[in-house]
Amino acid sequence: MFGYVVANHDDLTPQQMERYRGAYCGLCKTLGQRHGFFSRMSLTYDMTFLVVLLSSLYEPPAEQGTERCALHPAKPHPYWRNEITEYAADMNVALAYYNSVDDWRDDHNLGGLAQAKLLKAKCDEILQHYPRQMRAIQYSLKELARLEKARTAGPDEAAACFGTLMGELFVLKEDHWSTPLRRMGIALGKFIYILDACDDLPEDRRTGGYNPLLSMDGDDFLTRCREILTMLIAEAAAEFEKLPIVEDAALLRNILYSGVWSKFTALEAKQKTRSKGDTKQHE
Amino acid sequence: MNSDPYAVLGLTRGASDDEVKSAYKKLAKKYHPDINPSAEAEDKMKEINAAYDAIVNHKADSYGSPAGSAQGGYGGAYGGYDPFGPDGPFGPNGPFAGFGGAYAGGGSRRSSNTGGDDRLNAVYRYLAAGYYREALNTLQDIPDHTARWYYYSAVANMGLGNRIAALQHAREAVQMEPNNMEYQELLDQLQAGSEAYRGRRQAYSAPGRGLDFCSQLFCLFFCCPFCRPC
Repeated sequence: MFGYVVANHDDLTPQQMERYRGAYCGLCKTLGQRHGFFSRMSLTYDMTFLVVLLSSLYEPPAEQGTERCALHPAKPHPYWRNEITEYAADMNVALAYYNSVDDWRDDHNLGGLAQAKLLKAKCDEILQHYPRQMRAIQYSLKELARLEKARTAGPDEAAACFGTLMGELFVLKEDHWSTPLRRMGIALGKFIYILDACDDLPEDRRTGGYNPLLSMDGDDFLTRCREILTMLIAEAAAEFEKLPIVEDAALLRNILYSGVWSKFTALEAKQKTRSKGDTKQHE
Repeated sequence: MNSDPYAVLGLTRGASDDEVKSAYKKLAKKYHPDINPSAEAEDKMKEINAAYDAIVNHKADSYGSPAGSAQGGYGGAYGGYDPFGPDGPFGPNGPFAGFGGAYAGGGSRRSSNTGGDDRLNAVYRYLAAGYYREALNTLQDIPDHTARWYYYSAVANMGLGNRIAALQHAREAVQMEPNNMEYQELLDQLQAGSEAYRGRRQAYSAPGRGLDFCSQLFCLFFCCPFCRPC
């Protein structure tokens, strides 16, 4: 379910690219330092987006530097990080932990279990610092598992569940901006959930797995999905526009107005090639 | 207190969104309680926040229109966000305007004409009174899904915040009866935010496969169980 909130890199200026990459590398470095080398595996673009968004809103003092890391030992690259990077790293680990517990419960994925054991101790620590967010993650993922098992939930109910989770993560602290931030997170979380369900539909159709969009299945499936997704992301973008964000606003808009569609555009392209193949077979 | 929110931020009316945000940031840095703990600064900060909210929320009402005309009309493209706003189905101009509306036997364009189906009339009364859950329950007992059934279902779902179901059913109603203005209006309201969004989206090229700084390498190295999208 993670990794959909990315930038459209064709449209990024070199400066924007450097800021984005710098946030990503800063988060990766922070994850490694706070939670051990292996936690870096769980790094997501969604949390990178959160780092840029909240940093741009609150503008805390940042540390800038360049470093070589184990994955790119030859080329040193710039990074930046601040207290929000630390927050995002903690949330990233928490999400990875509950996600891996889920994997273990669902399909007894051994990788998941190993991950969960590694991350468990970290999560207990994070719970002390961010009880509101951690409760939201626990509650939402448990509720999602329940809904998926019951197989009766419609798209609104299931999406709202993941929306609640993202909404709480977007609120770093309760202040003047928590309302637009929470609403933005909720809408973006719903968008991510529906996008993920779109992506999973062919497989769920085949295996009989639960999918909240199953009732919409048909020739115009992707058109209907696009309509729903646009409504949801428009809500997130409208909340974003209410925030006093100046620095990195162009980078964030690139993600919200274009980059988030990367996966969906790929799905549409895939369907196009498939339907072309079908016509050829008929001929 | 200054009544013109633009003046509070040291701007003139018609300032762009970016100018408003920059001006707010500059003042907030000066008066933020972490930086300036005096009581006077606290009051000033409240005033600045209120001014910023007034401008931004008003702009949101007429989203999608150029900044210059944003102060003009009320309830623009963004009205769809608030089903209880003046033009939403529950607002004073909507078909569910409560007891003053069709329910009381008033307006001709109103929705009470359900072709004599008592249960649909009951749904209508629930909707007018704001009992959306009850409206949905009653709808579930009606096996015949007419265009009006879908319309009422869309309104009830909208009232409950189920925007996805609302959109689906409003679309269904419009497809069944393309000439019904009431159905079309509801669909437009649900998608009002989408219009403004699409306008902004046009500035960008079609997104490719996204970019990948490191995670593919991670997958190669560690058979990562998390980064499924890659």
